[in-house]
Amino acid sequence: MKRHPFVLVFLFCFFFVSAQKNTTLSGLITASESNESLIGVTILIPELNTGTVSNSYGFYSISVPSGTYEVYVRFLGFKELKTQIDLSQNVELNIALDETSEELEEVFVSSSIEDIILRKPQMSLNSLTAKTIRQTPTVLGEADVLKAIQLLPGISSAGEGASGFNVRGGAADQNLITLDEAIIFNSSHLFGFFSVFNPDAIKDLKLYKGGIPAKYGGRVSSVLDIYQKEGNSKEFKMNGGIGLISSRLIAEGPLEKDKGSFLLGARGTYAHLFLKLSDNPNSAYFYDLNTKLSYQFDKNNRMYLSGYFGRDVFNIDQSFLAVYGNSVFNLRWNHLFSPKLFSNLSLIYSDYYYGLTLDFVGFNWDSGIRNFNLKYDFKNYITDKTTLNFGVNAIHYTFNPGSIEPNRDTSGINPSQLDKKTAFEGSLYADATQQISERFSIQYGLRINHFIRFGQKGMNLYANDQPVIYNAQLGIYESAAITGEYPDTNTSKSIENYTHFEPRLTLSYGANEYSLKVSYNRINQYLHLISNTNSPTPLDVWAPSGPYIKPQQLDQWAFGYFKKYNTSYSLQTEVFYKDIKNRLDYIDGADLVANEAIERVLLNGKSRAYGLEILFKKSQGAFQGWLAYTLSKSEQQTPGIGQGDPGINQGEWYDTPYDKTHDLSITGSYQLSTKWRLNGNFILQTGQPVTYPNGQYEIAGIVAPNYGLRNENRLPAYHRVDISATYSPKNQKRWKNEWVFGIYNLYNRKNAASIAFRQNTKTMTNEAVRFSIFGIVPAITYNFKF
Amino acid sequence: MKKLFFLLILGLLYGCEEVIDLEVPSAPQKLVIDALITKSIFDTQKASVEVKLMNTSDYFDASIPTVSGADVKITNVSTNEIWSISESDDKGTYSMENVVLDTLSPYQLTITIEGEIYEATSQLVRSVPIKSVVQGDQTLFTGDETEIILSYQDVKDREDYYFIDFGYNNYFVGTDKFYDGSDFSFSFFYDEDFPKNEEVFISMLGIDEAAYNYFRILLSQSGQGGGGPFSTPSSTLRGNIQNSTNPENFPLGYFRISEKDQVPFTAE
Repeated sequence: MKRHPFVLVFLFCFFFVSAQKNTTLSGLITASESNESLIGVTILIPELNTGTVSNSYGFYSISVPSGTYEVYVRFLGFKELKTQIDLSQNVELNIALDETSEELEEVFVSSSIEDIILRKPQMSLNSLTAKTIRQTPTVLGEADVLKAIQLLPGISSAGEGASGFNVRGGAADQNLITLDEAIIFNSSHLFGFFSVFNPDAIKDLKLYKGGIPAKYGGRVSSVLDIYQKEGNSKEFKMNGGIGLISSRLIAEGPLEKDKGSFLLGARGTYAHLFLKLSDNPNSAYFYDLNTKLSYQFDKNNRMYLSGYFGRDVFNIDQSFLAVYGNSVFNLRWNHLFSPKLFSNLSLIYSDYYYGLTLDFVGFNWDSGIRNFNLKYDFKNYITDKTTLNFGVNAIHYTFNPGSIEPNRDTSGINPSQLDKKTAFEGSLYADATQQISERFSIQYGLRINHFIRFGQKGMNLYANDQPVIYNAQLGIYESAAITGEYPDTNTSKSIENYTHFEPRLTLSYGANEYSLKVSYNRINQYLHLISNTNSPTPLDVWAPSGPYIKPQQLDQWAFGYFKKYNTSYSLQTEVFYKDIKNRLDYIDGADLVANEAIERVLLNGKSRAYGLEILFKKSQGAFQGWLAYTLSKSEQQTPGIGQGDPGINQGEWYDTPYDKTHDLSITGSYQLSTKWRLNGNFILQTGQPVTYPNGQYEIAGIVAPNYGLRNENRLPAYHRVDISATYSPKNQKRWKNEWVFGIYNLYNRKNAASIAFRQNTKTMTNEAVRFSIFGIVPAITYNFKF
Repeated sequence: MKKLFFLLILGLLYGCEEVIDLEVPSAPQKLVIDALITKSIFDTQKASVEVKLMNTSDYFDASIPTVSGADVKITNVSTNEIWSISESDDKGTYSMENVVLDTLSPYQLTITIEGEIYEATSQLVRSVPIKSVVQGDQTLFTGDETEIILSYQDVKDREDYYFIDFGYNNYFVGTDKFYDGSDFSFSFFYDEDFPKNEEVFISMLGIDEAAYNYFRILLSQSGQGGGGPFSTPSSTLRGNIQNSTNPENFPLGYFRISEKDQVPFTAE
């Protein structure tokens, strides 16, 4: 409550700042061919040394003193527009840009204009266009969002076969992933081989690794904000691709010419059909569907209805069936209160389902998370130097940890329902971006969260509120005895709640062609993925904070230096430090499957990560690409519960499973001729932390390895080269097509995904067995558009 | 169950395995105590005791050294009756047959080696008879597996945990959490190395929750991968035996007293 006056004071400041008479130039920016709104377009008024950028819905607004000005509109991949505007009163100017495949010519604009953009106080942000994603060569010829972002500094994964990704030494559950504003819980299909995002349906992607604005909250390491295309509202178009393993198809077209459009996308794999042909009764496949309807009612109102449905299916000869995936449905309303005040209201329903059927045990298990989300975001373009963002966000969650039932009459399984959990997460935020002087600008904001965990059946009580105890005699942690249950099981009453204030601050200093930025943010996370494997698996359950699980709390500082050498080359370097309280770890051998009382195997600790990121980029010319290098450390400490116990690894800091000391990615794209384009990647990374055995013994006939402390060793270094070539035949009018030929892992290095230590049952000796997932993999994909 | 899932999934996808030369660290030797008292489920009291003592060796060594000349005693905590277990002809194995087991009393194992005393306490854990073992015709993944269906009647309102030896280095531990009191059966799949037309003994032992956790982790550590997305971080596995003289120098291994049933099985 103390903070509210502060918020109100700075809100009032703005209304007095713009003392001069101000006129506003605003409107929508679209691609002329399709009416697709364009995100991140730069609108510049060089005479005033000022500019702005179009928002996530293509809307822009800039307020300057009245006058007549030259306005430049620039966006990569489109022809630059230059026009003169008489701003004696407010002007609404909707701009349609023409696509071009030519490079932007530096005829109209001097390099000082670039500085205007460089000075914006946003740091630690990577944006990728759909075109860049499609150009990076990948395994099996499938362009992939998550694979492309891992080529950027500070972003990696826990290995091939790992779901999710890690940002600046953070865990995979610490990334807020949103598709058209809706939260996605699992971003991978088939254990990380594909992401859940169909690259053809995506318009824009932003990844915040730090300097996270107050508009976002709930996950401590990053925000991956993805927007789908609306669909072409001028004419009907289709595009798609056919590959060896999977195919995709998008259909888009007008609902009402120039006013409404639809987009329908489908994607699926069919490799399992080849298995069927060879009499192999197993299959693994995924499919997803993207849908979107957009309609512009009038110049101040637009509505969107989006849906996403994805499923992964693993079927092992009818004995074993696993199905999981996200479904999301959302309705959004953009409303312009005035040329300076843009708003978006979203109503979202999201469902993450996972189910397992084990016929050989007779067991069927369903589990999932359902949430309803209401978001109302406002953007107030007060002057060309001041923008205010504010809004409210409310989410209600229902967690089903598991419904178990027999899957056939002959099964001995008893039906049971693990106790459902419900929670509410509500937030208010306000954030202002201000250009204080020509060189100095600042973004500051505050987010206030309130999290409520509601009552439920089966909330256990323990002696001294300690669900885990230490057995000093045996030197192990044990689950404490349950002494009773919370008497109040009312699901509308709070049994635990948290209120947090999260300040966010970024300062930027810009001079000729370079800028320095520093940021601080505090973020809290209320949902945790309960998983003690190195990387998330579909059986992992999300758990809300409550009486025994505290919210994770992060403080991150980052400092960056950005320099543009000329229009083609740029350098971004950042150093970061993150500190996270309440990072959970598990007692040795914790059994998490269908565990109703997770708190009995959890230990509370903390984690930290720090590092240096370098991104050197060439963004124009026949040859384009970048070099990304990250040097970092990610570790955690679990000191124990204060009963004279040592904690994990004797209470010392130990590497997290996704710690990667060196991570180097070099990616390049070369336009050889009008028909051929060549792409290549080189990746080199330190091997993941692992525990090697330091001895062996035998118990009950089982020959077992003996281990020391966790994560003291490393897998061998990971490196590979991928190449691909894209052939686009000339003279394509109605039917455009291209062939992509690719080779993943060109020199066939068997990178270790894991190393197993086991006894060879034939020779009765121990061996180390390296398991690698991809050797050299060639692929061909055919893409078309009409 | 979860481990099985992931091994299957990894195998299903385009993957390859290769034995490699790897240097692993070497730790000082540790004493290992594998102590088991078993009583047949059909016998009211007669049980046999077997205690194996060994030291850990380096991971790639060809053998594991046994420990001879230890003093092994088992005491009935209620009556103070002591059994002195002597070393058999098998070096490192100390055994005694046909002892009369007090089914309701805890027992203490005391081993003295070179002046250090190692102790553990355990009590008989009940099990159930195996109703049947039949061969099924399903396969799991490669199509070469042999299916065996094990059936038993679980006892209601009793938290039961089972250690099942399927023969030829195939082990399984289970809990009755989802089928308490039911007439339960499940399938186990042997790989193609499992011998046909040869009699193999399947045994089922009753264990308590702590032993279930211990063996679950032991089995997971002895077969699973280190590193990779599906591994859980491994570390030293503590059992239920302590070193009373010098607690820092704790032994590995487990002491358990189980009710046991054993049936023969021949695969076709």
